[in-house]
Amino acid sequence: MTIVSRLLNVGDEEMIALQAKATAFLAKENQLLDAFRYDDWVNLWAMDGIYWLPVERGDDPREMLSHIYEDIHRIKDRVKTSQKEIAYPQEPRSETSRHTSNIIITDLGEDSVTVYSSFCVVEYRKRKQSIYAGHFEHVLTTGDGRLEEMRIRKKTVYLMGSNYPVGNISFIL
Amino acid sequence: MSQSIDYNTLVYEERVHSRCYIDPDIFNEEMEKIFHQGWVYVGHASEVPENGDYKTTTIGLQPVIMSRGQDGKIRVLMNRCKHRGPTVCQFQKGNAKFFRCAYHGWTYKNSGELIGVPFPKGYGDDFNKVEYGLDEAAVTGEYRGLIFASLSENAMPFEEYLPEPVRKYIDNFFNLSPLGEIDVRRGVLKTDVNANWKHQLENGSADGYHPHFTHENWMNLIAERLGSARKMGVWEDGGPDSGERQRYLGGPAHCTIDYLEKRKRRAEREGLKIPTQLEQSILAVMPHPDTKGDGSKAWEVYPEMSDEAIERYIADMVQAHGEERAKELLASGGSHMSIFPNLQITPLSIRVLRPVAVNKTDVEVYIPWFKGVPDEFNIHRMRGGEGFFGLSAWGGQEDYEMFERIQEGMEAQKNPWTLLTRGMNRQGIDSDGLMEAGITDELCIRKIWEYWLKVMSGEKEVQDCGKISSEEVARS
Repeated sequence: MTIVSRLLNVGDEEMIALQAKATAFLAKENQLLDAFRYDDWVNLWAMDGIYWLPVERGDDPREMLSHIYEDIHRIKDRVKTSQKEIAYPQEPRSETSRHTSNIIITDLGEDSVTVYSSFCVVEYRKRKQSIYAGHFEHVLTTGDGRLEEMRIRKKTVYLMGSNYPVGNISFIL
Repeated sequence: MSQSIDYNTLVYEERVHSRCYIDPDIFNEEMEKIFHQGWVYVGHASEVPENGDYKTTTIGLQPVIMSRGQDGKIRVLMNRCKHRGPTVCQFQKGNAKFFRCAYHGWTYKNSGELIGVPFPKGYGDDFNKVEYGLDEAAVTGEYRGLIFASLSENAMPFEEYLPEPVRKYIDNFFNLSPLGEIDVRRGVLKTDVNANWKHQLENGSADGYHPHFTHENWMNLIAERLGSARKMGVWEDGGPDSGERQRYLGGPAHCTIDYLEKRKRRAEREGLKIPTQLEQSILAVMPHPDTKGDGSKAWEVYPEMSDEAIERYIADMVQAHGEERAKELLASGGSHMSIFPNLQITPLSIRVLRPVAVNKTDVEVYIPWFKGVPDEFNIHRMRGGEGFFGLSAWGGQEDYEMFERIQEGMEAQKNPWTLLTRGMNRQGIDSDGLMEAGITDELCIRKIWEYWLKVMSGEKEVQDCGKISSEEVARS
């Protein structure tokens, strides 16, 4: 904690407060997705939000294909269509239990904080349990400093095995 | 392996027995007769542009390396050390001058030549390294950088495998580049589908019947974005008069969907200009949600395509191909075709089928960039490809879900037959002498099974490739 604080030029206490907020934010996000509250999840996003799931770490999405590279419009489209009865890959829908840990602040911007974490999403659908694991990098706007004002400006999902054949991930990671 | 499978009792023109999709013995014979003895697509030359570049893949169940040697030549090498058999290359792609087996240190050049054997005295004086290079595919063939190989020297001649009508439709895709070249090294989406490989083969061959239903969610979204006046127009029977056709292209069982006539007609009817055609062709029907211009779309995701860039592209196309041909290419918007057994080209993608087991298939989707085309066009295509084939997207996942449902449903054996009669009442011969039918018909699927039956029943001459027995395939 101290080392990161020094690097980012903030005091330990401020750092701890930020980390606590980021942790609470990520837990909230997990809970909304586990509870299928997609419209509430969309409201966690900033209007300039970008959601990215690269095929390989280090890829430039302007140069290389991604699994997902979306702005807020396409995120909304996905949420809208995935809730329809004709969303067959989600008929029946996947139940998920999401676990995010090792949450650390890696960068501070003027109005944002970058948060790196480990995730494990356990999915159950049609008698099959699957585990998806990897790392998240969230860039969260800090707003006026209140947790409920924080928004996702960028969410990057580094999924283990994303450059090998992956299964039916038709739910949101 | 059972020699007793009577394929003539499993495949008829109008129906196929579900055993063909769920029986592991049949799968093993398919790997042997279709994939290990026939021609198979391996990769595109642009995936290995520099000397030493390689990618690993499979021919059927057999691991291979597509490697560009120091001499610039691309070879298809078996990924197996000649000593005791370990794979010599562990990565999906990369660059290497040498492949070194980690087990006992045997080392091969990237051309396959054996150059290093530790402690060679143990092999005696008559040991000749030249005899122990990595095995190569028996034959390879190349068209416009698409590289095919066969493990059998007795495979049909490449020209017979890839006859002229097929090449014409491949050209339609490649020539959307004013330079006539594509770049396939732009990433690949790989999906692990729990279903038999032939579901994707049938679906991608010319199944214009399923989008109405399987992809209804996606098509509604596109219609919403385009506005009702410019709906995709696929909510139609697609009979012989619709201007869309499926055609059987010969070779083993290659086929295509040809939209050209319909798109030309629509252009005439609605007065569409080439730039508008571009949206449904090279840009491949994946408009961004915000096409109405409220300015809120993220440029980073969908870069602006200026009128100037569009005009420049059209001018380059006209210069490269002549005005008539350029118009035709732009209207047709590439190709939608299936090259038996494992390559499919759609307006957006190159799709490769890799069978893993009777109920397991890896589907690989590449979104190539067209060379000499403004970057923003290619980026649009890439984002469109992600929107259709990507995770949490629509098209790909919807298809794969159907394949898995078929695999499950085929266990119901009260009536084990599928029904393939659609369009038998209206198929015919086109002016080029090719068999054709409506886009929603099942002519191409019937032709695939006709060829499949020939190969599997041994009616068509197939030779043992002499390297591996069926029992060994079954165990692997």
